Amino acid sequence: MSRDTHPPLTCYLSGVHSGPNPSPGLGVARSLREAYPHARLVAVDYGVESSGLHSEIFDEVWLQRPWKEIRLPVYLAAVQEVLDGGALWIPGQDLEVEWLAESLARRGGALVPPPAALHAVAKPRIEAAAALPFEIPPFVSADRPDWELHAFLREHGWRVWVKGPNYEAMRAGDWPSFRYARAVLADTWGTESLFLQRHVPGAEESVAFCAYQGELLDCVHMRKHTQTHEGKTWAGAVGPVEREVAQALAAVLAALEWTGGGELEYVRAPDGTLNLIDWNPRFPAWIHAASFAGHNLPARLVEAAGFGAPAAAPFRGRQFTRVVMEIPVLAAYPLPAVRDPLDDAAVGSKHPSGMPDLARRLAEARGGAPADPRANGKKHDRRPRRRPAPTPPAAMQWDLDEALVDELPTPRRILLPRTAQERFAQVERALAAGAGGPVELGFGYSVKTNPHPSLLALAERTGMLAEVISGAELRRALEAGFPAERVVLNGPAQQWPAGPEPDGELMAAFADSPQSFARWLDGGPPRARYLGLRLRPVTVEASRFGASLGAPERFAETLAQLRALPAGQALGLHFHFASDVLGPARWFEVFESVLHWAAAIQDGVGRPVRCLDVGGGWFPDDFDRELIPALPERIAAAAEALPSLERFMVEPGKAIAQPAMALVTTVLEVRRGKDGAVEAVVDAAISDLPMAPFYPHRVYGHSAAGAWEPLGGRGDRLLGRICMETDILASDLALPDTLAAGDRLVIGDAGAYDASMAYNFGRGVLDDACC
Amino acid sequence: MPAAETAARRPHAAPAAPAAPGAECAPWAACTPSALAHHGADCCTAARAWFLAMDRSMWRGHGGPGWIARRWPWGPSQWPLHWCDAVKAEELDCGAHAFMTLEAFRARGIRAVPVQLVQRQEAHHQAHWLGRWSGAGASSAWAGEGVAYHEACATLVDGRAEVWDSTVGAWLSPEHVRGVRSIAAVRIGGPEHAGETVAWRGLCVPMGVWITPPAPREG
Repeated sequence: MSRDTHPPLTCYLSGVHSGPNPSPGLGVARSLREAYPHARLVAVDYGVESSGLHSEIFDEVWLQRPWKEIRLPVYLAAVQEVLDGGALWIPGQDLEVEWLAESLARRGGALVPPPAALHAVAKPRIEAAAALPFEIPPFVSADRPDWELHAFLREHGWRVWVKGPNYEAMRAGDWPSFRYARAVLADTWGTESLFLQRHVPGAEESVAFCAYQGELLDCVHMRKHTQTHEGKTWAGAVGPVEREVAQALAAVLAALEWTGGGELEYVRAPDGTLNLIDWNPRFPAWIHAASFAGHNLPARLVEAAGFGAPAAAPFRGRQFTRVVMEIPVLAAYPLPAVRDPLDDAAVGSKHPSGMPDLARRLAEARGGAPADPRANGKKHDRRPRRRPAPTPPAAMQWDLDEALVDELPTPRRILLPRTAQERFAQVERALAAGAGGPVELGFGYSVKTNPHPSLLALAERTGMLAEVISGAELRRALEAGFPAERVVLNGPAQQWPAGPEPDGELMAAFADSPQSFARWLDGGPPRARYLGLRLRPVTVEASRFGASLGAPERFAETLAQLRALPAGQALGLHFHFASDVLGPARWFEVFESVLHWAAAIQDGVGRPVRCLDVGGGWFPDDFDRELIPALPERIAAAAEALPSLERFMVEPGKAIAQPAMALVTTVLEVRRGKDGAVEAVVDAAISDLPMAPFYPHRVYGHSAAGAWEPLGGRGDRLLGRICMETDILASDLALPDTLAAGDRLVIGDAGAYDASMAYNFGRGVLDDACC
Repeated sequence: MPAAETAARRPHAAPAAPAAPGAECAPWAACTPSALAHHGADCCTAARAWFLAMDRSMWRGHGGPGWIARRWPWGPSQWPLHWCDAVKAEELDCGAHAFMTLEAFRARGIRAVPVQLVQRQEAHHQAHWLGRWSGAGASSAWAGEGVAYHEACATLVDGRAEVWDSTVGAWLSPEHVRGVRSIAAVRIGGPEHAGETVAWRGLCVPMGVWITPPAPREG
């Protein structure tokens, strides 16, 4: 049918839900109603819970069966029929755009981009953005080994989103929340094709546009002013698009031969960079705000499709806000029956238009991920794809071969001598590199991470200091051969348990709190070359350790206390916070702020800071790749802020001990589910590996050839021997297909707190402290 | 404040010219920017050192010191106000906010000058402010009927000014000239800056002089 004569406009608008996370259909309808008052507007959706169906802006409702059960060929034929009748179709959901683009090709009336264009704007790479003045925030596919994903999360300071391929994102603030987000998104969208992307702080902005057969018709900029808890726009301001962006966008859309609406969602970072988060192949839900700011994009699109000039609409303002309002429910589409209040199932859906179901249907149609096993009564194997294994430490293979793992009683923690020597050699090299400078560099071995005699002996031979947190650890270090002058004392219970004083002067002692320091002043501080306080950085006030600096009164008290140190006593300051909790970049930020505090303290006390002790909780790879290379620069910064600094001490925490031990365990039982998932019960338990939930451990099994090799990931679980729900040692392994009872497995990275915090639960004995 | 953000606001706008302020600003035309006093003793020295170390802890290398208004919500202050009292206060007025912000920016190595504003307000809000300020023993001379005197702080980088409203914790736009909290008049810098001009998001502003920004074109 020719549109040259401007026939009456009939437009089908899908995706009309209007809630805190709305679809654009209602906004598009309101814009079209203003521009074409006599148009016939038909609301299309796939669930009666879609609230916009009841809006009086629509002339008709075309309610479809849910995507889960819809017969796609039948529906496609119906869509073709309305398009053949001269109607337009403006889809409001990304996946429906994909389906229409693939199914209808370039059939007139369906205002969607070509499939190739959709491929070019797919997340996370968004290839089409290469020609735009945008950057893509760093990302990694979730199909990499957990070891690599943990590294990505640390690298970006745990300010990372876990994202589905089309919709939905969840913040991952720590390892357990990442695993939860991955499981939820994979389950919701029926796909393992997730990715992790760095969070970019900054102003959230959008560019909405419309194009017809490659010609950019109009575009507007929108800056969010307020948003919902989900991060969806609630109020904002519409304005012109920066010229550079508009020009580049026009060229890209021409190359893509784009037809339809679209939205670029990005973050303007404080450094001015524009970070593209998403390229939506449909209008945004706020599109009507652009219309009353003088840019009716849906009308421009319809006009370009041959339906005549839209009616002019007055400018009513650039700023907009959303409101909540009640409207009558259409009699023909009554609300679903009230759920049984005793039913614990979640009320309502995050996806009333059924997008997760369409995602599964499209994946199934493309021969990819299987559909929902509940759909159409079919059962499918939903076992995730196998993910590659992590790279083991170079010396690990030797260590395992020499440990005669298959002959040990289990569960048994074993020292990996070559791996341990590598860790200490790393420190030795760093000490050698830092020697001879005006500030003496030292590394402290944290006795609490693992007081094993072999590791203490290696630390002593390497020239490390012993960092102890109690009288018991102090004596352990002295027994291991550390002279007192190579011991650093800190922690909240330095006096516990009471015992003989060391013969000599300690290297340093740091009070853990103003109260501890006051006790020192009353009863006499430990004999130490450097005495001082542990500082609690103000940006990690949640820490239970150290003197708080977050209030001026506390700062003044700290100055007064430090002024009371005996004359001639050298002053030291101490800052520890687990780097793997903050991520190295944020740890360095805190370090910089500590230098400012230290400078302020020495000015206020009138006594120079001569020793700075920093560290805590470095993940081994970060210690090697981030901290050691940065030390010369950091020491120079410290010396500049504290000109009398003599000694810079680093406490790497678990970076030394963690890889140095492994836990050998025997498989007691193998359970193979009908869906292919495997669970192995082993004779080790969470009490042998208490850090299992908090970071990934590399697990090794026998290869077919009998060698030890690291296992990849596939959702198989390693269950401990204890009768506790939480006794799960690993939940995303790819266990060997041949695994059987009696086989051995080795859990690596178990040499730090997994060793020193292991407990007796489930062994039929009580710890001495209980009795 | 990044220059890129400035460009985003009026990408195609020609530079506009400010006008002389109206009579509504007259009561405050002779006001000088607020400044915290110093006892010349350890009490104020330690307070100022604490404040600057706090700011360096909060700073991420960019942006204004939004932590100031979060720590000390807006409220009455009695002047003269000393550093040692200001840091212990439960709340601070805009003059204290602006002066502390000025100190923070300068300690960061950024050139910064005080900003004085007269903002349009709802006329009936004045009675609330008068009651709250007089109840705290503080001067309410800043609150007029339908307008209010306010203080902020501007950073100056490469001839461009950005105005940080320390009390709100946001950068101000010269385009905000209509409605509640809009700018009736503004003075960037003091008499010592007379003769200098700066570009504030496309608006050429003479420093040290009260001006009224022009209304942007709508539609």
